[in-house]
Amino acid sequence: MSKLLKFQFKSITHRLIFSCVVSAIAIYGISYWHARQLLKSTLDNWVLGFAQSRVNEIAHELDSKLLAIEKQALNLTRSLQAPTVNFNPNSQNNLEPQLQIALDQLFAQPQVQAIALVDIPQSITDTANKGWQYSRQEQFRNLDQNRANNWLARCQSDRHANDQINSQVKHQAFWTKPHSLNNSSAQFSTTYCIVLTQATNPATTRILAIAIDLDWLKAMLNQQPSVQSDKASDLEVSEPFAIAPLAAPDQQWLVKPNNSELFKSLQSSQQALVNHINDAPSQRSQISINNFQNKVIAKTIDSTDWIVGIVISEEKLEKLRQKHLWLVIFSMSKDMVLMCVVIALISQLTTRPLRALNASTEEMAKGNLDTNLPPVTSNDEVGRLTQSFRRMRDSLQLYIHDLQETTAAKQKLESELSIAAEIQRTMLPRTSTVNSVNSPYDISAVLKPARIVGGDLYDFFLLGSDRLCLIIGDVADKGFPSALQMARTITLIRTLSKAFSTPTEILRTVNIELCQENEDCLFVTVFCGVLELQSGRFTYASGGHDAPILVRDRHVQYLDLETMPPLGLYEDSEFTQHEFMLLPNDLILFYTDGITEALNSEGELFSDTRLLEMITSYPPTNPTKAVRTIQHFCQQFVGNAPQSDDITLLAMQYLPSNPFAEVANVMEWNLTLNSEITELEELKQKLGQILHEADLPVELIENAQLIAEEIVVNIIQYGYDNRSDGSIDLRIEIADLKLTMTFADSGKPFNPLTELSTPDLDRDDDQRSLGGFGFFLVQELSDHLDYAYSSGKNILTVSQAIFN
Amino acid sequence: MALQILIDNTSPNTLFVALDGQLDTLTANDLETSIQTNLQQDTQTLIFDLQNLRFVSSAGLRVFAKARKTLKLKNGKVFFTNPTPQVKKVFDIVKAVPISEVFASTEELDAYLTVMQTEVEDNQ
Repeated sequence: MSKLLKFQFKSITHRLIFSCVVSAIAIYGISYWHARQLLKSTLDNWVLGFAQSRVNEIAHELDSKLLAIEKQALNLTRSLQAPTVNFNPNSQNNLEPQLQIALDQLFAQPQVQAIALVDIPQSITDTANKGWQYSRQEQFRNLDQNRANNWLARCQSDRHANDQINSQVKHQAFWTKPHSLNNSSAQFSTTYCIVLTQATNPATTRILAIAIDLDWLKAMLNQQPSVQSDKASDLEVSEPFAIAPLAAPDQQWLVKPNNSELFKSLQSSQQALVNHINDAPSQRSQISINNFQNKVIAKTIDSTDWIVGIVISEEKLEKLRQKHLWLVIFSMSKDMVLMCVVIALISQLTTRPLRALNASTEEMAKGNLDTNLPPVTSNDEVGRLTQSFRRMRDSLQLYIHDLQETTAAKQKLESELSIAAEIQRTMLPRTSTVNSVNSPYDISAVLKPARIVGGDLYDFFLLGSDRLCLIIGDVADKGFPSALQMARTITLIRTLSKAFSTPTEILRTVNIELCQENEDCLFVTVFCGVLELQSGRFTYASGGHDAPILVRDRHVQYLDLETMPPLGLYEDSEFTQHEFMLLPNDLILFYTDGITEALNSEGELFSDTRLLEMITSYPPTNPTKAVRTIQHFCQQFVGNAPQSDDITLLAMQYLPSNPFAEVANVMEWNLTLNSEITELEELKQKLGQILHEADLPVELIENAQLIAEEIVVNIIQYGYDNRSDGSIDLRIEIADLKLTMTFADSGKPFNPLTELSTPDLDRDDDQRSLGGFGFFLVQELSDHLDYAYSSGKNILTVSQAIFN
Repeated sequence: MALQILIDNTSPNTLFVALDGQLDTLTANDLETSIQTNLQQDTQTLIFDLQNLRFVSSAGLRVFAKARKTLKLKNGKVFFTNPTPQVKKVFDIVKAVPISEVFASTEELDAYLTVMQTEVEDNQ
């Protein structure tokens, strides 16, 4: 599971790009978040500030317009209050010039619709002349009762409504609440009322009312561009409005926002706005209301108590923010893409020499040491690494060159050594050449050097026709010097034994020769024995060599021996001679200390004791078996430990001639062979020789040879699984016109009669398996076959009738 | 040498192998290797001259059988001439080689091959 989570990059470049890009994304993410916050606050502040300043402008303009009218009205008042003025509205011509001027000035303001001067009646029943009005349409006219009441109602309704306020400004001028010109229309007008009291007649109070319409208000509010996101999109974020909080609820909106949705959302703030009329004077100039749907920035006009303001749609403001945010995102994305491209380029460029080095080293790793390394362009880590690699490659090349030379020299030496070993082997006699069928002795030997060449030696040869000389020896030390010494010794013995024929003489003369110019004191232990084949008399002497072991009918003992100094040390050494009479089938075993001093991995010696015990437990019946068995047990004891010394074994069995010649009709021969295919040639040769001497017909001999080969091959391949440490005993008997061969082996139990299938002969041989022919041939060529398994041995008996 | 192998590959599509000695477990491998190295891409006929082969064992029979398989794949043929009595006997027992492929003498084989050749030409 952890492996799945652990994402592996194959290239440092990719890792670099990946990490930088991820970091850049994270950094840009944080920057974006900051920019977003900043943008929101800045944009909001800007919009609100803009709105505030706009509201201030509108309020100022409105104030100044109203103030201008108020000033003109005051002028008019002064003209009217002049005592000289006798105002008769019916005769306009009689107007005082002063009054005329004042009137004209008032009407110069386009908003002014009408002016009226109305006497406030003293009582309900008073129906005196009420006053006059002067309007744009009708010029002068006297007011009838009805109209006069209208005017009065306008000015006085306010006074009643705002008693508290008006109590203080009873005799001052004030602006009435706006009211519809006619109830249905959306046109509003407001009236400036001035209460006049004449000094001459204080009882009579008159009201001068100046009615102005408010149509211009909307135009004035909308004349400047409202806050816009930008010129192109024309997205209106805000709209101005004016509200008169004191008017009746349905008449409060002097100017509505054009956008009906915005107006709807503004209506939710209407009550809150109206409540602001009660604010303290200090707070009147700054009103701001925040809702979910909108923001309102407003200001109260002092003279009229109206509130002018700007409503900002939250939704549209959000769109504006989004729009700017998209700009930011686009700009940042562009930067980030550029950044990623730059990171990728830089990473690629930075790691290029490293990749080139990697390619070269991979090529070098394949064994191509002549690969050009990339040139060192910098002194950074890659450059230093390249230099290190170059040095490493040079050392490697040098090392390999040296190694090749060394190996060549070693191979040369080894080939010379193996030739030397071969030469050394040829110096030893072959046991197979000796063992003719009816020879009075049988010999088996093995020599296994610890190194390629060794210092052990053995030899046997006939002295004359009836004396067999047996030699076994061991040169001190191992390896080449001792191998040369061994060659020298064996040659000397061969040469000198022609002139001297007793063991003492042979040893004495060889010793004198070996002592010549032997400053290194390379000595040799040699055992020399001579067997008289007729009598069985065995004479022997030893120069420092262990006594051989005699096996007589399951009885094992050392031969009596007084050892003398080894050869090559003292020229005057004399060697005592011993004598022993051998009986038929006696077996003598000669060995070197490579056997008794064989070391196992625990450092234990194989020892004489073990050797004797082993031979006693498994008394050998023939030389081959003796050599095989000892070698096998010694190898088992040593195990995997390296061979410490040269090993030599020589076994000789005394077989004085033809004990079976006495039995006329039975002839018997015994052969023992190792489980090695290479023994076949010798086996067939011997078998041919035996049967030929027994005067059997050629065809029968050929058949017997074929049978023997097939059976032995089967035993080696199936019984011993091609192991070469087994042995096969073959007994050959000729009796009653029957040739019987009995094969015995210690391989795994295997009955060829039942376990080998007969091949299908009716099919062509490319359609059948190629196994089973061998034993089929045996069955076809023999007259009788028998198989048994007893005491750990496969025993196969094959009989052939002898025909002539 | 228990077996001598004499190779004659002068003609392009015929390989002559003359055997002298014993063809047994020890020598079978040498013969197999020798056949494999000398078989050409266009060898159509393999002739074993057994005049001097004194001995053959089942290991030797396997080599002959393998050679026959190899040639059969190439639509070729294997012939044996002059088998010695021992070899002939083994051939007869195991029936490793069809009788039609064994000839008592080189002359018989030549005659047979000539007939075959003419038949082929006639068919063409």
